[in-house]
Amino acid sequence: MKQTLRISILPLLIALAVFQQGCATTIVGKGQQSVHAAAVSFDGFVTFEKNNRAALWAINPGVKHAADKLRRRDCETCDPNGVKWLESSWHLVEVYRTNRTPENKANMETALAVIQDLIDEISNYFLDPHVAALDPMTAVTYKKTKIVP
Amino acid sequence: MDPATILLILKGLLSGIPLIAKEYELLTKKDEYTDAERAEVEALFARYKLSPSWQEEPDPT
Repeated sequence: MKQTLRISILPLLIALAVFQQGCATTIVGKGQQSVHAAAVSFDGFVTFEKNNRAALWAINPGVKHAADKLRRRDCETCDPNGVKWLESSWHLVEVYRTNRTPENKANMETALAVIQDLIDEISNYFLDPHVAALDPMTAVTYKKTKIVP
Repeated sequence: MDPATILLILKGLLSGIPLIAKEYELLTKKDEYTDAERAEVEALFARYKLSPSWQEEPDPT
């Protein structure tokens, strides 16, 4: 299970390393990569929480609640979950890709900022050494994650 | 990029997992995603909706 988890977060490691280097990608390409990296990040987090639930619950119940914030809800009127945020951000990147107006660019950047806030929230849990100790590689990944171009 | 990160990436890539290699290709490309690549990302969203890790469960007692 641990190996599976490590495999699941590896693309995120790659993503954040690329963003830290600041490669010369187009604005749209960066937006696409940002949403893609956020998707991998969210998936890594909910998987990490599920695989380590008992230990994490004992350390800090807030970790499960943060993961639940991303998870699916069977409720049309509920707050949007992680996948909806991703789909919405992806859509706004697509809108800008097909119609590159300043307004569409601003909307895309706003959406990316929202998912960056979620990443920041997740990352904060890994500042707790007890949480980080459950999977040091995951902890390193989230401490460094900055997805917004 | 620090050496530890490079090492971890290499370990993953050398493990020969096609999915990882594909992710690497997409996340390091300099151009916009192609139609097929965009479809792959959208497929990820669909997969998450069905993934057990993404299903909300009651709090532990």
